[in-house]
Amino acid sequence: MKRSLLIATAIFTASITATLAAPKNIILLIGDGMGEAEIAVTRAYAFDGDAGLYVDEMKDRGSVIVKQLMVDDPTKIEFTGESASGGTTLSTGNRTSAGRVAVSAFDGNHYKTILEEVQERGYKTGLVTTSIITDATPASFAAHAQNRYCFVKGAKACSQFADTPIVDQMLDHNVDVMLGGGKNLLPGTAVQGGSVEQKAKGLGYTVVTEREDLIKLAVGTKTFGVFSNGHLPTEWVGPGGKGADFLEVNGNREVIFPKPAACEINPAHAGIPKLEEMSKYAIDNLRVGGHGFFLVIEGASIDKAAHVSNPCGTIGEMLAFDRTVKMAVDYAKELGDTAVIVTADHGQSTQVIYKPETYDGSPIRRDLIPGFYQSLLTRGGHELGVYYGTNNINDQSHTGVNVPVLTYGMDNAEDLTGVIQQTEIYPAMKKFLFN
Amino acid sequence: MKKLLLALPLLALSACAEVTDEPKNVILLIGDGMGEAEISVTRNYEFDSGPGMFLDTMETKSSAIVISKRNDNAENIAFVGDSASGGTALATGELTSVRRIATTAQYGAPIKTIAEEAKEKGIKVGLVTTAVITDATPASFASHADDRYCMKAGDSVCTATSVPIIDQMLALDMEVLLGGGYQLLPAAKDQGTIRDYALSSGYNIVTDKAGLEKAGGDKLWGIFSDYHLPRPWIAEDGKPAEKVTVDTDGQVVFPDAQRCIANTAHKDIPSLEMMTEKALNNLSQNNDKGFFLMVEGASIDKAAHDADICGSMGSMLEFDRTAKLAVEYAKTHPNTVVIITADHGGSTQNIHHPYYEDYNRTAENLPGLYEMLLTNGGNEMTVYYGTDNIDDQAHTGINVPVYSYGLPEDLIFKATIRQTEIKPVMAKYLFE
Repeated sequence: MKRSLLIATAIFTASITATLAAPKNIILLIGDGMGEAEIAVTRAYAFDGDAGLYVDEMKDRGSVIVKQLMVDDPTKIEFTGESASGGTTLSTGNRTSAGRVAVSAFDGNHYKTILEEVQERGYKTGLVTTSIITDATPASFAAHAQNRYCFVKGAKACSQFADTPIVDQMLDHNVDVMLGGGKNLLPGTAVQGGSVEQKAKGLGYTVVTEREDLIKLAVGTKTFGVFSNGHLPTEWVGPGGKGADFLEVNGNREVIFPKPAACEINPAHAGIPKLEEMSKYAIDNLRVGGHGFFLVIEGASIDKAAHVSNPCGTIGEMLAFDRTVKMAVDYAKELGDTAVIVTADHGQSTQVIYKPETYDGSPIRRDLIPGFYQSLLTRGGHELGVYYGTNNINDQSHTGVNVPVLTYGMDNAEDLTGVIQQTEIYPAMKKFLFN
Repeated sequence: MKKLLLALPLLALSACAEVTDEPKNVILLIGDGMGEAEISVTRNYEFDSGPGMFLDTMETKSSAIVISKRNDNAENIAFVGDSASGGTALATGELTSVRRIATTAQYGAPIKTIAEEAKEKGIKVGLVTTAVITDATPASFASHADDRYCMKAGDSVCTATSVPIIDQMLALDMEVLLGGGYQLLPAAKDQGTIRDYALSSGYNIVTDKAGLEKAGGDKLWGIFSDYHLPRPWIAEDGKPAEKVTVDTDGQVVFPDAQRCIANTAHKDIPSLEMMTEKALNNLSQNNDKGFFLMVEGASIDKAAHDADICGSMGSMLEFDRTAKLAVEYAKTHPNTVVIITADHGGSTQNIHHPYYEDYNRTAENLPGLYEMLLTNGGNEMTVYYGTDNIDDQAHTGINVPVYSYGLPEDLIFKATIRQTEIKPVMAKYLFE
């Protein structure tokens, strides 16, 4: 009799503990277009090939298979992903087709996102990005649209499927902290009339547009921070502001290799908050009250710079992202019960190649290097050849390569090791938070 | 009483084992040019990106940074490697420059390899490859050369002082050599030929699949083609990826999706699994000292150089099956470690399907070489090589995967490592 009482007490205590356990936190960091190639070029430039990145130290890691469904026939696979479909897979655990934000590729029905689920349970939520705040990655967590470019009322993209503008959905969603680019959204028209800025304020958001105002801003406020017209400028630009380009040729169509040169600070980034500054504000804000929080931090321009064959843009953003990962892990150590998950939505087309040379020493002809090349001088003074060959106009292709997943602080870290499907990240996050 | 007696010999045996150490074995599998891109494209084609690759089931995985040194100044780094510098990093734990075989960059001093150390300790050594046996990867374990292409006497890059790679490899007295290279046999060696030299050194030379099946003997040299072995697969149209064609309006005409098919030239060639199985049988016989076996899937890379995606994927799948065979061997043979990695990345890219961009495609949108394949599951897969439009796609300076099976906990590779960290771990396991 006594024994069963004891057991009953034990069970009772256990269930109390379970209900009263402090809510956990997740910081999900998405390096947009952050394949191994984009990490490798950054490591080469900044650390001369040493394992000097913070992500290099993270021991719990897996490799993620990325794919999406075909737009015209979603029963078919496309083996290369994109930010909307990748964001949707991370936020909902479902595959969809390119351009779809948290909706089905088959019928446009909404998929519930993890951000929506944690909000229902009283968690605080945040979205931080270096792109316009309505861009596909953040949007995939707090909006539903069949065309990712339906940012604001009147956008042509809204008419394709009669989507509700993404900025309205995100504001109505009551996300506690949203930080990124998009000053140009503020004067836009909200769906109920009035401006987007008026709408945000009406919903209780403090709207900030300057770095200094963000730094001074008290935590505990609902914050909508937009710090540039569209996407935030990248931290770095290439030598002389230039990206990779065709190599010059002489009269015999023999290639003339440029001297290697270092990346430069982008003057346009002055006055723009860094990714880690925005992320710090978000975490300090969301942690207040111990409600538990779910924060997405996106390094968006790793990809955007790669699209336009700008390796320095990618490298600067990758380093900012890496510093932000370290900061997130430091927070997780302090906060406890906090998982940091680092991954990418899809790979990109960056390639580090050997400076081409013919075996007999004869000159290199243009046909031997048909794409865009840039020779960078690394921190250690070495020559780093970066190449983009998928497009010779202005839009390099994503590539269908696996992307990394790295975690810290997950008691179910084993769910995200080995080779996994991108759809497995969402259930692993839910298991961590709710089980 | 009887019971006690029975127990005693058992005790004695196990005590003995503790003192003398069981022989240990290392199987190192090198997928030449096997970056994540080459693995992904194969997974996509064969398994429509679902489960099926054996490598995907390996639990222990790390990522290795691949770099090399510049030969004009060994202080300078090149952020891309080749099979010679990568093979040297794996065989010796030292960085060197491209084209160098276990010699230092700029200066050319020989660097001792793990295979040489193993031989000194009486540990058996085998090298298996789908390339010519003197190719950079196997050569890096068993020879030293300033130029990887000094394979046999008379090769144009050999100098008056260089000893051809095949001469050095045979002199190392390794137990098993399997790969391509009939053309090595008639090369000059002393007063005779390499064939004479190998025979007088005690090698049993076999030159076809049937010969390999039957072969016994302590020292086996199996050669199955004139140079590199043919690739298992070829594209239906027999051609590698090509530049897209344009119509009279300058718009790209995308090719129809095609399949990979078996390469008839590969029909009578022993598979990499078969060669590996033979090598394992051979090395494990009458062996109380253990073995070191290097197995290379060479044509993952060679096909990628030629923009031959089917050749690359067929080789990748053969390599994957061989990895499974090696791990299964390790599971049934205690004290066997399997390490699987690559020497460097290749240039294969799986890019967006043509539908993806809604603007009209001109040839400038696709400047490189293009192939559309139909996967096993009936999906269209777009493969692209854009680093060279003539005949030789580049290597890429990307991390490569490192998988392992059977390593003791304290030696397991974790997080991101340097390629040079692999050799010390193998040596520690094998020799200490």
